[in-house]
Amino acid sequence: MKRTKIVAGVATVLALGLTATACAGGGSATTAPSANGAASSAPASAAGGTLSILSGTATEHWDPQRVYVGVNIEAGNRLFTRTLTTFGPVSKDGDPAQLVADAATDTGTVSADAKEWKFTIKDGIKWEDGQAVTCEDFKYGISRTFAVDVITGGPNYAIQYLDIPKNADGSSKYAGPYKKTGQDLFDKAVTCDGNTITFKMASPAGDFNQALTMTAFGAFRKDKDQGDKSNFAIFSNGPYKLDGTWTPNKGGTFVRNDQWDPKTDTIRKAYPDKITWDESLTQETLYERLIANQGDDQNAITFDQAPVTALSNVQGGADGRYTIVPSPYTRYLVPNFKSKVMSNDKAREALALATDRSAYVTAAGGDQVVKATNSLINPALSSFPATPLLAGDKGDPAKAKEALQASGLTLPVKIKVTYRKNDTLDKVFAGLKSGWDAAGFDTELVGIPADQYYGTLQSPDNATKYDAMWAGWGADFPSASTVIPQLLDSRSQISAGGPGQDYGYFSNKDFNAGIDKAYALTGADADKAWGALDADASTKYFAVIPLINDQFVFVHGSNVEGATVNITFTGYYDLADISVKH
Amino acid sequence: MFYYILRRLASVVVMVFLITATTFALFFASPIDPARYTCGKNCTPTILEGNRKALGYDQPATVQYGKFLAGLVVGREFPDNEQLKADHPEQIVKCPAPCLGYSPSQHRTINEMVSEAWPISLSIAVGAFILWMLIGVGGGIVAALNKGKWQDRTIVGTALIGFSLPTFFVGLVLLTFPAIKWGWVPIPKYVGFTENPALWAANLILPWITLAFFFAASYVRLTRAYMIETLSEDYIRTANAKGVAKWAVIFKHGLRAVLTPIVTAAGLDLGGLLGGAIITESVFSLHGLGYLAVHSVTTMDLPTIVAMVMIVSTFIVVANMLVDIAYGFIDPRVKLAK
Repeated sequence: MKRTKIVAGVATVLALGLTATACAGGGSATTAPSANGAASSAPASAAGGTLSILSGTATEHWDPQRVYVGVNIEAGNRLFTRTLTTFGPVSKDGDPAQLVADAATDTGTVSADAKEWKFTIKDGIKWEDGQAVTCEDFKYGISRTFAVDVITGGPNYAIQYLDIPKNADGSSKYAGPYKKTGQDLFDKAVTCDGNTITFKMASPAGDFNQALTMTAFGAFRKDKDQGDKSNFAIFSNGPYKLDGTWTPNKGGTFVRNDQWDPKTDTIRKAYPDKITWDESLTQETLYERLIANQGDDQNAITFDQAPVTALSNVQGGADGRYTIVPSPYTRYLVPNFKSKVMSNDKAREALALATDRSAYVTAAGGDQVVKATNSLINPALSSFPATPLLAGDKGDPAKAKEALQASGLTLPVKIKVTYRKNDTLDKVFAGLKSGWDAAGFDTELVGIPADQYYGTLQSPDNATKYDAMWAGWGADFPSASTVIPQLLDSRSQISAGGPGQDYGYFSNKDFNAGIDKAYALTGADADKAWGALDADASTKYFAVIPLINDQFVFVHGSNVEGATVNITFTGYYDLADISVKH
Repeated sequence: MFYYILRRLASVVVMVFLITATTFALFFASPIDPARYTCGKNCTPTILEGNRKALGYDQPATVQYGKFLAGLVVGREFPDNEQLKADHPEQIVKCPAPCLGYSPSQHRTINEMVSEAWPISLSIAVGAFILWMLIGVGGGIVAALNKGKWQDRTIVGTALIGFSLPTFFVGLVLLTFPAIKWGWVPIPKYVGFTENPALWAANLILPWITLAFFFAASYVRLTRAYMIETLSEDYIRTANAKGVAKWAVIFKHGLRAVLTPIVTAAGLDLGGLLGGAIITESVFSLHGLGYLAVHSVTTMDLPTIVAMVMIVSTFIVVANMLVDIAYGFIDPRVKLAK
């Protein structure tokens, strides 16, 4: 209680402080010239200087196989962990980025059935000690993901994609390089032939080369592996290396890696001589500093989004130095198919029709930072279907009531809706409740503390406890295969241990068959298939009720050039071609 | 005296033991699953269970507490997995005694974290302590000597303002204006004293002022009240009548009598502050023991929570003991029990 009061007090005073210096003005993002997904060209004078990264968010992992936060995927890839493929930088905020080869010679060769992928690793890529990066290094790195009791916290796409049998509980029969149980299975699924690495998929995976943009598929040198002790022990094969050590909650300094050969790298321009990363700050303090734009802070950027309370001050005080872009996240409502009420098709339709997204937008800070949506897939993805809102952004209680009456349930229909408790969502759900109640529901709201929220949803003990649940999700890489199956494929999500991320226990054979078809497709065909599944989920099955997309607001110092947000690749400032005037 | 100190030390050990045991019990009574914090975005029940086992959270609380206590005496190794120790000794973290534990969220021993944090907390606490004692006691004496005059009213009024303004407000104002906007002083960032004493002081001046502004206020009032009372005593009148110099009356006879209650308060305040000035450290982004304590709670980092509770409670209990011992030296009338 005491801590809450202190934090609230600090936030209030900061908000007052920020507001006090606010004034009118417009702003736009700065951009750097570039073309066709390649790094932008900047004048030779752009090279040099020190870029400062101010952060209020502690880095959990730098171990490539454990990194699962957008900022760290992006920064890790641009600074010290090259991946087989990556997304190129963009010329202006919001532009789509191209999938390009990075450590591989091209973006991969896929078999006709999309079950085998081959990549050839470029010559000349070296670790910071001068040794060559080999196919075996990539193979070993990927194997670490399977050591789920040591290499914790990272994405499990390798386990999902690769053709390695699974145990009854869904875990892999390969237990990683430390235990070596099932090593032969892994050695069959991932093979090295000289510099060529081949991946065998468990099922068709047309977008596997996009998954490889995550550092979890990066190389790791076996002789440098110390398990959990390697968490912050950065060993570079990119343009920068760590100078000294990384201190959790404080940060570290990156300097040039003299073993990096720019001839092998068309993505990274590596302009600054040095990059300092200070993560000891608070969000409010770092925004005060960025807005004040004094001294070394003129060379600073941040990956932390501006607090809503700072928005007007950012717009007034950082004119020309701020950016508003769509975030990778979608917030949505999940009707629970295990609840008596929501197993009724008409009741779910009524809930969808009665949902007043404008109440969400207003309570969350206005349409500059939140946009209403009826798609799970984010607008940053090429498969975004832009599904129209069923009843406008305000919902239609009258139409919803008709649907509810047609459900055969007795009005008012009691429902229990849960959400992750915080001040903003308290207001949001008070607004949503009004819409639902006007349509004939009798809504009981249950706020659950953030640290228990998803655990509660995923517990099988709570399978029938709530009728609908709030949730949020962002694509891991710009493919809807990291959205639709992750949230709605009952086969991969629901088990005796709980619903996984399919919190509403939605299980539909036709829908799952559609997922299998989409996986086997590539390019525009895949986009179309994923988009259709998304639209079906929200307008045919009412398995989800998408609510809003967040917007990210970033600020940079006045000496920073090329500070462009790459919304395709994680949605943060891209370090590939950023520079500082000096 | 020797037996008294020995007895007090024994009581310190018992108290710290009870406090850490209670912390463990409270932690396990909470509905929060600490393993969940290490599980990542695609958490499955299987991975969650694996993490719980790897971190030792699957063992009974009594076993975990026993291991914690044993680590204090003989040290520990992490993770506590015999197979891994045999197959991959390079992955094992050695934590020599007195081992405070291993933080799964920070991926290092708590001893390392504490060794980084304590110089920061010590620097903040000692600098602020000197400042507030000088201002607080000095201001109190001046106010007492000028009782009822404008000097008295000004000092007492300022003290009241200092006491009523929360430290986070004073800290934020000092950080925003003199540091960020005007650039008069550096934006606080800890520099070791041995590295560069001038930069050390320049970076800590704002936290010192923030804390001193708050603490000095109560010392002004405390010193003033006791000083006024003491100056009206017969022995002071006698000293004045005998022609003893004014400064000697004030400092040698008056202040010495006032010292006992001031030392009591100062000892406890300093002891608490050595355990971390939570708000001040947070406002100025200085990661001392206070920040470490808050961070461990927000990430449900059990080993760090227990270690921090132990450290902070030890500071306070030991400070209390030292204050009691100091009485014997400050006031000859006080005899410590055998």
